[in-house]
Amino acid sequence: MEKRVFLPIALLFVTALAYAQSEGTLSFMNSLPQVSYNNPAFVAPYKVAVSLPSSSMVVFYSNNGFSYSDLISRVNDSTKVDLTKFNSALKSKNYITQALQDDMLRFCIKINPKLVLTFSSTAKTYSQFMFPKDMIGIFANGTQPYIGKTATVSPQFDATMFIESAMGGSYRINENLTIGARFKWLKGLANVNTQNATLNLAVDPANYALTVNADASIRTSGIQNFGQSGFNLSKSYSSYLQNNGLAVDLGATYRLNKLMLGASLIDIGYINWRNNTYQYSLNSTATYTFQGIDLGKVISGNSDYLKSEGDSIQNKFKFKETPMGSYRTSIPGKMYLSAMYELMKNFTAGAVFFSEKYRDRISPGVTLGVTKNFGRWFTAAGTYTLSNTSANNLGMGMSLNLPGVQIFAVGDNLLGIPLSGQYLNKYINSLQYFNLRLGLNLVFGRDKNPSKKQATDPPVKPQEP
Amino acid sequence: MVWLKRILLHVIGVLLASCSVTNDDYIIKGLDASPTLAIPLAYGDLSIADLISKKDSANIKVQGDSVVYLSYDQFLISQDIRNLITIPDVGTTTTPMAVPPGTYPPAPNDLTVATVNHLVDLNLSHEKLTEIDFKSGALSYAIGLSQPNANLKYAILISIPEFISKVDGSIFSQQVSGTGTIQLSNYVFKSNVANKFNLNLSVIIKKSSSSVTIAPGTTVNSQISFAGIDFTYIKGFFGDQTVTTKPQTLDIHAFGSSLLNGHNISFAQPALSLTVVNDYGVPLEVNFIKLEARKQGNALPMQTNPVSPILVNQPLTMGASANTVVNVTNVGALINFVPTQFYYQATARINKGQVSGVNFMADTSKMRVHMQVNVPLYGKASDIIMADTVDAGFGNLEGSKIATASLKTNVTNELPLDVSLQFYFVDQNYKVLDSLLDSSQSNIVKGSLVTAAGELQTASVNDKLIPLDGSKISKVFGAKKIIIKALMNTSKDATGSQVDVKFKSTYKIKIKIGLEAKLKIVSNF
Repeated sequence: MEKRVFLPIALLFVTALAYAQSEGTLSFMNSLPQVSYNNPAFVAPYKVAVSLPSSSMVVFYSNNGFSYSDLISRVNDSTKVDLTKFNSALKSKNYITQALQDDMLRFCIKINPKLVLTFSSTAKTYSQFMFPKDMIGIFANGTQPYIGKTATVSPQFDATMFIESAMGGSYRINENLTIGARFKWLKGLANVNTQNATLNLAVDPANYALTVNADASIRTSGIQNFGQSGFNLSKSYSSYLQNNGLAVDLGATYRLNKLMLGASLIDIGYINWRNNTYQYSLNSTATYTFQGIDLGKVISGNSDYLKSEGDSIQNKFKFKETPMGSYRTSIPGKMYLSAMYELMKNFTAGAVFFSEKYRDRISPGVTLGVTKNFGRWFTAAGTYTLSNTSANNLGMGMSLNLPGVQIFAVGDNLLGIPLSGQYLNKYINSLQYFNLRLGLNLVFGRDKNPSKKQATDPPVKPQEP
Repeated sequence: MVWLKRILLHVIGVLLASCSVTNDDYIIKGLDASPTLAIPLAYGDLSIADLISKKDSANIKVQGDSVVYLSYDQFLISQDIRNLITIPDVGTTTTPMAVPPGTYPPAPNDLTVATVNHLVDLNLSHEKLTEIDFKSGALSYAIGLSQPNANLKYAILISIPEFISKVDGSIFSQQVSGTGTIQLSNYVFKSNVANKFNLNLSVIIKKSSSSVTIAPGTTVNSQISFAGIDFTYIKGFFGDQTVTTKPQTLDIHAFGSSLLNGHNISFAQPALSLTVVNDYGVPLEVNFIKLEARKQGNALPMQTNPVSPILVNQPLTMGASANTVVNVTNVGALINFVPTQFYYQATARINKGQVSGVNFMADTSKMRVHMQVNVPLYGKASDIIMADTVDAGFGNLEGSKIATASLKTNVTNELPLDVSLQFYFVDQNYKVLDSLLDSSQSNIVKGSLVTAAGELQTASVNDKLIPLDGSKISKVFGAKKIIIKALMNTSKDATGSQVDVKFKSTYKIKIKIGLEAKLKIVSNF
């Protein structure tokens, strides 16, 4: 049974291109109210759970191309940037993704054994920078490797900052099936969106003539203002609330004896950007070929032509700023598929396949893990997250329940810290994937009757301490 | 589950303990890289016209068969003969004229009371002029009484029969009194006696309604002079005179000042013509003191037929010109000498051995030497050396940063010209530090293959990657200047013999030069 479930997921994961910007370990932390972020049908075993402003936050970092150790070399006890080594570590497209979420307020209440309602407000930022391998390759290896070829050196950048206000709930239809949904009203604050970016460099085999071809279109909202003299954010705050959006989370769980299956779609939505929208574009015919010094012009005595040529290039490749109307961007959507099996009382093993889709890029991952509830006061999870670029992501989750207060920390790549030895250098230098959720919840009315199973309960049978 | 608790506690303990980092990994001390740059250096799609000095661009022409030729057509103008003849000022002629004494009754008409005639000489030393069209000149006069007499109204009538009005053909005749000048530009001097004219003066008592008494001994004094006389044309006999003309040059830039000695050039069909164009209506003999092709301190005399001195033709009428063709008998040698200048200086002698005659000249008359040089770029050449010096200007670049380098050349040549290039790196005293290429590498441009008639048969294609010696590269960066030296030879035929080749306007040389250089970048912060 387990083999049939895990093998296809593992195969799918191995073919994945990059890390997801998701939290695999969180799905194992059924003691946390935040577990519903991965699946709105998941329900934590409390009657009431509250997160006060900024008492709970999560940071993400993922880099599908390289780690810090790929960038440097130790030479005679000195640290130097090693471009050759760096370039060889890179993938054709390298994505550096960072995200930060802060729970401004979260409230969860169990109306009855079947119905749980949640209300939350979260500030979220998300940025993704992509640079192609050729961008570094040009500096590391020069233009010689590109003779007769074209180097693609255009970077791409996207960033979004928004506030999400959500209302949702879960409903247990029967003993086996629970469904959940969360509806979100989004207020976009600022956005940078690279619609298209092309910067190609071709090297002619005849005399190494360099042809640059560029095309780019970048949209922004709420950014241009900051470059204007006299702009005062406090006076213009209201205009930053014009960017409305909607999103939805959907999920369900299904119990098969000791096995609990879950599926969810998270952050399926968009934002309409209307405030201070500008487009920055290059002329679509921005092409220039440098063939060296024009002997014809030099012979004719026109030695100043290079200066005028330089001015012409500058104008050709100058970004044009144009005010524009509204535009729409999607937010990074995620999918979770989970399977948890209760191996013994209060001890669960499982797997979570997750995938994030942002624009045309799909970033999947898989987490395998176990969860152990040590009575009602302490829950711990150990996980292993695997990708095709890294296999050293040992995650963990811990929650400590004190009377009325719950302290927690969850991350997909935290166990590397104690395993790195005396210093964190080894851990930091090899880091390509990191997320950490930590915070504090106010929790009340923990379920005492384990027989009344909730959506996330199957693998969790809290026991008295 | 006890074991699980122990593991968990251990992990938590280590997690709390492992919270420090060492800075060594994060203090970046430098950057190492070894990129290999492939960059373009130069390119061009050049014809032979592009390679010829731009100073001569106006002289580059194309024949009907597309062969490019250099054409120089210049009139070397001299007005030295016209300047031989100047008309001097005529000094003051003072004439006291007695007025008969007595009381003159009122008179309704002017009354002439005295007349004097002078024969004035223009005082020309060689010339015997019978006709002068005055372009400028003035007659100045001053008239006065020997004894003041307020009642006497008088004037002087100046009459010159040889001065004919250009307007109505009348003779010069004007009443004057007091002082003043009369412009002569409206008159023509015509005299049967060369250089001389009559100056007739008459005293006139003006009509009066009252009587006037003139005391004995009363005279009217006149002073007449001529100055500033120049001519529009003159006729007569100009004398046997010789003048040395100023030196004249015809510059030829096409062959370039950088063309050094040692070349061997043969043009197949050069042409050089010399024509003396004469506006002067006077027998004229031109003696070329210098008539030669020059370059860098060397000179090659031009041989003519007829040999100098040459009696040139003269026009029959004023305003016409007469041509005298002078054949140059050593055209080939002169052009193959690849001169940068044609130079001449001559003496011009008019009326050689003559004592009389009818000559004419206008003030615009000139003697012009019309020199026409046509050099079709059709021929053969070897060991043409051209050189130029450019600043090295490598700034702060260090040779040690270039590990290896190669020169990429891609040349498609339709021109029948082989070019071997060498780059000499010199210090500020032009001391050669090294050269870039070895002898096997310098033949960068191969000439096209030509037919027996010297026309393009097949363009040469030369695509090379020339590795450069590492030790030479390091010396490049010590150089202050680079001397670029090109050794050129025209193409040979299939048998290896040099034939006359044609440089047509349609022939191009497509040059693309690039550089491949592996850099060693070691940067310490």
